[in-house]
Amino acid sequence: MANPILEARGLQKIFDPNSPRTLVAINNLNLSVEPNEFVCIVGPSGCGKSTLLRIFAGLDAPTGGEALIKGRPITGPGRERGMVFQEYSLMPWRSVEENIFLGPEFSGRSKRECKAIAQKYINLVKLEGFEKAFPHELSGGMRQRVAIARALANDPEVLLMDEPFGALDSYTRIILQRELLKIWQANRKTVLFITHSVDEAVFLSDRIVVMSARPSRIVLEEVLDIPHPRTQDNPAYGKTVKKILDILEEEQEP
Amino acid sequence: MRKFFCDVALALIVPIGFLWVWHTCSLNIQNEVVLPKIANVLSVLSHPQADLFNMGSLSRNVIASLVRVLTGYFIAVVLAVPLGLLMGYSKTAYKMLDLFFGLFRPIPALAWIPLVLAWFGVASMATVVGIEEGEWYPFFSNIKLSMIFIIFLGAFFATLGNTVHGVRNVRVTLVESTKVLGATRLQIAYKIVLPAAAPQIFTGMRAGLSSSWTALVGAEMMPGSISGVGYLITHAYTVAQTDVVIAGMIIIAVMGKILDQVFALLEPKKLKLQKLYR
Ligand SMILES: Nc1ncnc2c1ncn2[C@@H]1O[C@H](COP(=O)(O)OP(=O)(O)OP(=O)(O)O)[C@@H](O)[C@H]1O
Ligand SMILES: [Mg+2]
Repeated sequence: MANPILEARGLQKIFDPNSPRTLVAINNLNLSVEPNEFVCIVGPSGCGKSTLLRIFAGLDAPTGGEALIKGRPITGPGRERGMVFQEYSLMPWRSVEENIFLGPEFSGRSKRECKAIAQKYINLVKLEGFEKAFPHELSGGMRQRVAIARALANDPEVLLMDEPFGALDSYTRIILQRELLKIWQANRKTVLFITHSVDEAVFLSDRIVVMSARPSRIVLEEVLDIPHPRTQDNPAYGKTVKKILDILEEEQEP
Repeated sequence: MRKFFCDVALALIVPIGFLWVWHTCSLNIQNEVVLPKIANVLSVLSHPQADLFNMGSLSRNVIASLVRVLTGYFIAVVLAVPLGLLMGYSKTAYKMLDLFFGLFRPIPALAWIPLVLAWFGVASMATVVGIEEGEWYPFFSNIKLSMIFIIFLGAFFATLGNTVHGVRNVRVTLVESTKVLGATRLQIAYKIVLPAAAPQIFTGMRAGLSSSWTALVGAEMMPGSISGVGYLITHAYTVAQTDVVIAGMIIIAVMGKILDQVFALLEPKKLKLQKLYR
């Protein structure tokens, strides 16, 4: 295999060590993600999926083991790793385009360049006409599009996504899933995507990683070679969904 | 439009009832010192240029008060906002200063009066700017440092507390989502934390203005005070002019309300956006 772009080796995360409330979120987790791969992580609620993603983003430090980006230890956030949060994360006082060009603005691009970049990604996520709108004027789905465009506008190599469509209705969700796939195929980014929905994972990913209940490790890695666009009537689709659901069910049992 | 008149009518019921009670009571009591008639108070208010028992005219005293409040308030904001930003942003500064200012906060501004008088005596802005005579002298000598200090204290803590709170309560996700975009600490401070905390800072400045206006009367009751609405009230009391006392109280209420409303109107549109986005 080629060199992994993201790697966790013996990763461990303990919250509040040395206190009675101590909690082992992740224990001895090993994972590697290849360049251009689309990997989905599923697992029981509270098992440490967000924690894992935050460690890769450089927002939390592991208490043991290593998290690597292109072979180098992760010490903090970096422009090559973009992140889309589950909860709202847009700046309410900034318009759609001003939110999207935050990354280029931070790296010192001129106002004109910023606007041009923003326009490109506004078109990509189909928000033409809403350049000057403010976040409170947008629907939930549109807000997540802005968040995705903002991450993309910084041109990261890796996109870390924490249940980005979790709060959306199923119809909006399907539309955004299709768009995300198109964007991923056109831009060849690496995507690490957390979801509660096995269906979503099977629809999107090259590989599904199933995490156990806490202290979590990986219980299954399922490589999918079902051709896109994947539909429910493909028997392999249904079989994979069922297989993963069965494993998750076992995990939920005490 | 109809709704507007309904709302106004609703808001007026209690005040009109209140005036009616005042009116009947004053007719029954028949004692101008205990409770003057509404008409007498109105007549004081309707002659703002008239000299009141050698205390100067109403308008002159209102202006003196206004100048003091704005001076003390301005100093408070200029010091409290940057300090609050620092305390909110830097954990070290917060740990160092929170307890210290927290201890001063519960002390009412008026409790400072003896100390403040001992420190500043009758020194005024005239002493500070070095004007000893001339046409501006009465103006500056009326702005006593002791009063400014009391008013300053009133505004300072309200503004500081809200600023610190605003900065510390900026949503973690907003800060983290800029960190992952590669922002530096400085960029996070002035592009994210400052605008995100701005509505709360603004609220603090508004609350500060209210409390400095409240502290005003106490400040103007201090010895050496020879003008201002507070002075008018205390002095009218000693000469048993209760109608002037009440007129002074009404002025304080109305001016306070007007200042607050002006402040609310000044609130930038962009700050309101945050309240809409939840
Ligand atoms: N800052 C923290 N301090 C203490 N415990 C934490 C902290 N963050 C997370 N945890 C704990 O770590 C565990 C894993 O949390 P995490 O948010 O990673 O779960 P998750 O898999 O993303 O769950 P969900 O699917 O519900 O989002 C949880 O039990 C949580 O209570
Ligand atoms: Mg989570």
